[in-house]
Amino acid sequence: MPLSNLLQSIKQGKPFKKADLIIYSVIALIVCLIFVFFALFNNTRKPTGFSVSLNDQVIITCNYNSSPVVKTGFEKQVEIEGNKITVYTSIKKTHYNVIEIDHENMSVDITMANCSLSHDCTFLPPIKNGQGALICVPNNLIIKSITGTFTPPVTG
Amino acid sequence: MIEQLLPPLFLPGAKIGFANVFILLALVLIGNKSAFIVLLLKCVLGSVFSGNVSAIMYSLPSSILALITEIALFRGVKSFSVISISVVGAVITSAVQNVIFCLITGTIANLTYLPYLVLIAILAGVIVGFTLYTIIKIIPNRVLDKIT
Repeated sequence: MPLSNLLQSIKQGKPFKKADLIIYSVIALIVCLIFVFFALFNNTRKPTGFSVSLNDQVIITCNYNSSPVVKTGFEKQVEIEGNKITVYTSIKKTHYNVIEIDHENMSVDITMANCSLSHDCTFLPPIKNGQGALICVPNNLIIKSITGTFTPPVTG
Repeated sequence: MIEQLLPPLFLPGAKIGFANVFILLALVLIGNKSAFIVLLLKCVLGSVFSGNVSAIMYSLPSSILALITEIALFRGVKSFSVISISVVGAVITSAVQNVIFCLITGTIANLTYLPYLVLIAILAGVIVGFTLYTIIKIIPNRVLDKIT
């Protein structure tokens, strides 16, 4: 059976064609537009702290001027040691993320995790300003910056 | 799976996506249905064996959309090279994954990674496309005749 027209065209053709310029131009335009959009709508407000959500529930908030506050009922899943917070996804303590706080530079980072093979969350850059978030998808953990008014979780 | 053992490509979650070579190979050599089957297997098995089953939520819709676009470009508009079509697929996969990720996690701020992911996707698309082009060029016609 002879090769299909598609295979023939790839076999006999060159790796790049003139019409490819159309595709690359469109992509370049889209990238420029996205950069312009984010440059115009950049949030540069200073953060006052951050919140940690587990399974869509805020369990920790931390003002950079004080210690972290843990929501009632989650004390067994959270261990605080100096500037490090270890958050376990459940009381069984099988899966965890280690969060490191830099009070001086007002930034927070995920430094360790045992979530999956790739541990993508540990490669995310620390959040230093009012935007961005640190997310661990397998453990359903999200760390967000707080700017402006600070509302600690319910304790006691 | 092997790619996940390697460090990320400039940004967390960014990979070359060599598995897409096999999807495009199935598309070019056999047909649309085979390409979809390979895509489903890649998404499901990759998520299961990497220990991150929730990744299917992001990888499956983005990969399906990318493959549909690639099929349209291969079959419909025949003026583009296999490398540029691979780039389009890679850009769509990255962009859609990022958008779905931001919507599901409720962190719209992570859309700021989008332009960088698109740039990395262009690089990944060129590498995957060139690999596919080289494979098809190298395999003799008599072998391709038996496969197709």
